[in-house]
Amino acid sequence: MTDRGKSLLCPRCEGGFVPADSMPPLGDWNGTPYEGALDAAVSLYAYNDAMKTCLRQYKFLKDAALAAVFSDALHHAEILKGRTAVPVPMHPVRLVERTFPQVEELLVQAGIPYAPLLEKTTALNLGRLGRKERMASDPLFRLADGAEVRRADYVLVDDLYTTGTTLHHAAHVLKKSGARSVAALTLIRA
Amino acid sequence: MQVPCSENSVQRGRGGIGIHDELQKFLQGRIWLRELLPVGKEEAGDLIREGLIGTVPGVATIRKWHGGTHSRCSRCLTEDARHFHAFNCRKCGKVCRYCRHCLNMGRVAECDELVYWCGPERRTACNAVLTWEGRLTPLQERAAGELEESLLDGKPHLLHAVCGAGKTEILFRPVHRLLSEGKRVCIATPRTDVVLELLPRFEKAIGGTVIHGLYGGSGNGEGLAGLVIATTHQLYRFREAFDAVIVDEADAFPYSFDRTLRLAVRKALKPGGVLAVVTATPSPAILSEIGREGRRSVIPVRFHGHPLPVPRIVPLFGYRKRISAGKMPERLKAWTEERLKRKEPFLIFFPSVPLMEQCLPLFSHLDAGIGAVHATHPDRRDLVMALREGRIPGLLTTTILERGITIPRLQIAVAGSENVVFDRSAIIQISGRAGRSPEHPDGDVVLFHHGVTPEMDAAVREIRRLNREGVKTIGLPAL
Ligand SMILES: [Zn+2]
Ligand SMILES: [Zn+2]
Repeated sequence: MTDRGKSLLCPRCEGGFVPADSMPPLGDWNGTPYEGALDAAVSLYAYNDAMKTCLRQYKFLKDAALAAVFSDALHHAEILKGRTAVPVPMHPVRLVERTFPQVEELLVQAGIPYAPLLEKTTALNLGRLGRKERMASDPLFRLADGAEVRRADYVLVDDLYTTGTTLHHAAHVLKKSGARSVAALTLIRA
Repeated sequence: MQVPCSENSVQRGRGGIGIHDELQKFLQGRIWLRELLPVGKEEAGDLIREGLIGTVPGVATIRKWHGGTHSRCSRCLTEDARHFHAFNCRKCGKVCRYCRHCLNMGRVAECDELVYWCGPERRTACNAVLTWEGRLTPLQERAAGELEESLLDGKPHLLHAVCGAGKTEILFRPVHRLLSEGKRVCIATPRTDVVLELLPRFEKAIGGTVIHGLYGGSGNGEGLAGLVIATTHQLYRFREAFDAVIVDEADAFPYSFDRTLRLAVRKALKPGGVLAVVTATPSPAILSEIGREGRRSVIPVRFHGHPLPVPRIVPLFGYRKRISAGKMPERLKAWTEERLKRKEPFLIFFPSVPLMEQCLPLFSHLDAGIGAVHATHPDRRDLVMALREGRIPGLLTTTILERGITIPRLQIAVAGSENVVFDRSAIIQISGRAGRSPEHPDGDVVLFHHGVTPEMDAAVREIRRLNREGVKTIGLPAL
């Protein structure tokens, strides 16, 4: 082989994707102010090497074309049915750096309607924080200007479920603002 | 506008001389994403205003004669529409295209700037020393002299040398000569393995000069290199950098297929720079690259003077079925057992990774030490090292190992040589892995097949022809 680069087209490594073998453990949040913020959570894939490669190419090499790889899986995701999708947003500073909103783009490519209800309050990267610090950090999201939360069922969409901090913070904001239920769908269970 | 040799020129400018200096050393001869500059990112703006650094948009729009337009990546020069993707860009606020062809080097989009050094050129130091003390055979000597002459005259050169002719040794003197005149030289090869093999040899052979080895995943190297040993792929990141580019093993995949890699070699040459190609199996594409005014040296024999091993052609009909049924084809089994018995290191080439992996358990049955390698295998280098050091008896491999591997007493088999991946050039290269050391100048090369192909025939004919030519050449008293 040469250093022509790892397969440029992720569809080829799609064969290496495996379904997530466990669902996000929401119970971890019992006893915190965020207990019950999320009513359900589903992840589509496990975080194996093929998925890491693909996600790295999508997020860090900014290969927007790869958003389409997940369109079919998102179409078939039961949890999206009957709920309004809300993508977990990026901070505006990050967005300019990354050049496209990586979660939103997944929905755009899949042709799934969504409501951009939330705004990120900090450009801080959660990945740098320890587990305790993540769980206890200040609110990460607020309602976007002019956003209206109805008494309806919402599903937050994000790429990774790690500790669940991001999603619990986001769900908390929606619940406080009147959402009847908030579920979460992530591509990957890390 | 060249600064005299071996004198460290000092750049003018406001923002700290040290950084400008660092930035020039890094950028001279390169073309780089402005956003990803490893040094002097803040200073770059000043230097652009002063005209010392030039900029181009990452993706250019080219107008065609019939009024249409298409995109061209300013780094890898691809114009293939399939290589571009358009998206709604939040950085420039427009629909923006980026190149997927060279994505791994950092994404280049329409709204990105590529920068290059266009100020006065800093010469590399001229105190390169040839520390290599080996001796050349008369044939190598003649080829080295011819190559050196061409490079100094600015004439393209083709060095056609059989596998095991000692091509690397032939390069030492001409490369040293260019370096000692303050010229910048690049040795480019399609394969990372070859870069990794050449780098330590050149570091040992030529002192007093900065040498960089560049491949996917390597660093960028410190300072301004006189000699760059790089994969052809890495040349995407150079622009008017070298006085001479020597493409080694030039016909190896993917160089011969990818037009953009050929353009990259051209782009990396300074105006008036010179191209040389070193190969064991010159293809029509390479001959046309060298052109009519190009000169040519031929070495039909290996450095130890023994003929090339001629492959034996052995049928292995229906081997796929047998392997799928979990059984080892008899002849292949017998061959492997013979190698194990005689303790001869061996390589068995497979046309595909799945077939090879299907076979591995069957081989493990014969000897648990037998390993398998392919392009993305994480322990690839360790396994090859283990074979070289005799810690494992043999390796199954894809064509990844066909070049740049030298192991004494190596025996070779190809399982499924009728497959298209084993073309004439690949078979010649593979056969050339055997019998490379003077103590063991021959070795068994077997093509196990399910039907003989014209490519197999052509390879055997070509090897016989070179051997005949070799006998004649050695007989010549003038050498
Ligand atoms: Zn490109
Ligand atoms: Zn843009």
